[in-house]
Amino acid sequence: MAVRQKSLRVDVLARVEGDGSMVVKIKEGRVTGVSLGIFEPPRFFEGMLRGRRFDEAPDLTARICGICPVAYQLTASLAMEDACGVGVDGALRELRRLIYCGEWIESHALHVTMLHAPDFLGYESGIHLARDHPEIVARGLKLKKAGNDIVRILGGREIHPVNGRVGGFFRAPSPDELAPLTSTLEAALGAALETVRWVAGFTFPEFEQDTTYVALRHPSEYPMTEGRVVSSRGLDISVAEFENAFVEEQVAHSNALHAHMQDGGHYNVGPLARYNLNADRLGPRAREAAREAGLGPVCTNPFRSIVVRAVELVFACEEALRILRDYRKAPPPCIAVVPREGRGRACTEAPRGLLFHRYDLDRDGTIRDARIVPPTSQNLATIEDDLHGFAQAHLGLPTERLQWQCEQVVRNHDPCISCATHFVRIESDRG
Amino acid sequence: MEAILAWDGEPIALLDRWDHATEVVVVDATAGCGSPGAIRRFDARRRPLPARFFSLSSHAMGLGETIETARALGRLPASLIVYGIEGADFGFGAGLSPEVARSANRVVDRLSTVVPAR
Repeated sequence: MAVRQKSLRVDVLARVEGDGSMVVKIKEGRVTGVSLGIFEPPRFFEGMLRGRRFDEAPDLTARICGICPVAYQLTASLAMEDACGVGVDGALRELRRLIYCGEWIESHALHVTMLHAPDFLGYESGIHLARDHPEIVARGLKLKKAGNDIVRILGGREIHPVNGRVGGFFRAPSPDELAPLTSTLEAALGAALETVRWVAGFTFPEFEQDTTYVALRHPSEYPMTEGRVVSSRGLDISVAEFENAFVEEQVAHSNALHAHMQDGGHYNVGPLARYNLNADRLGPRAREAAREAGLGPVCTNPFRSIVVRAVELVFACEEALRILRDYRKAPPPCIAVVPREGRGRACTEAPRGLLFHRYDLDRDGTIRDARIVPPTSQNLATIEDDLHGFAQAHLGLPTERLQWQCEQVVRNHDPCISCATHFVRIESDRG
Repeated sequence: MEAILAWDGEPIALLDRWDHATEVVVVDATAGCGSPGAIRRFDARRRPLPARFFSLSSHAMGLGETIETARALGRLPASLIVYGIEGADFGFGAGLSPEVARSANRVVDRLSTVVPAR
């Protein structure tokens, strides 16, 4: 007898950061509902920031995530500098870009090798992959370590680095202190190129989505720390206009807010978005690696995000080496930042995508209000769209196989659920 | 045993730290596995850590996954003992709950017999 109704349910998603579940409901040959349930508890960071000093925001927000603390720390710093009417340039800006390279390397290396690649090779986990292919996992961990080394040397420690601050750093390293990173990153670049070749050989489900991609765009750089906010459908705005263009709302099945554009459209941020909007800004080695991997100027198959992430690994290694080559002398570690009343905003490209911070300050620099929009919450609606589309197109698969691949649809986006639950809006009805 | 680390990095990075060590003891928090302050000792060379004991992590790979990855890569030290101390409260705030602090001191006393003071 044919099964007319079924649900694919995964109560706890594996190989994602944080706690989430997935439900796909199917009835008489149609997908009738999908939900990515986020039950990681909310952590109220925006509330905690109110009443704190402006220069405390980088350290406080870095605690939102153990994998991308640099992204939060730097975005908070940039937003405060915007509020106070200053800008960091020159060698300090390059050092910020270098530590961001470190975060991209360690985050992407972990996700590609241990969290995502097992899906394509039929392994339950990165541990199972390690048992059969220890050399591949060892390569991925060595890459990750290179990224961690950058963050440790520049940031003071690997997790929740302590050296970043509003205005720059507490201490700028000497060229001699950074010198050991050159050989580390040269080896890492080789490992990153091998990683691209490896993942390019995976078998990818045929699945194209007509997604709106959103990322930063810079006049000359592959975006990390600044740029305008652009989309694949023609949006081109300054960071100051972000809150006019994008809206967050609460949904019943999730402790994380969902985001959409003002016209209601869903959108995607992250490596695919960055690549699709900025492939021409990649460095020469990364561009060549992308070409050899069969990537065109645009990639719209979310399963191929693993290839794009690997290409970004090459870029981050290449970019870090460029910065190290050009770093001749430690600059003064920071510029003076005098607090003033006003509003400051910033966007940077966290490993998982666009991250937005906005702060309102009192005259003495006390934070009156804060808003943080992390990449994963911006992607949650798109992930559900992907689940819906993929499941509908593959209903002929055996249930167990379809469920596995639906989980993979989620992992395509490398969700960071801890980031997404930094906030929830509570409304009480006393009527 | 030569060194004591207060490790605030990712567990997976411990692989590099214990690569040249013969005896390693790790002390970590457990959650949802008994009374606050309960101490459990595991010989991680003999068998994997029970998954439910070390599921707390702000990173994608916690202590249990780290040890199994090390085992798969042949990078476990000759001796790897893990002490788990059941936490009482993982909410906001600083410091250890009294029962957890007492247990932490007991573990420290136990370890001080094998780790030379410096």
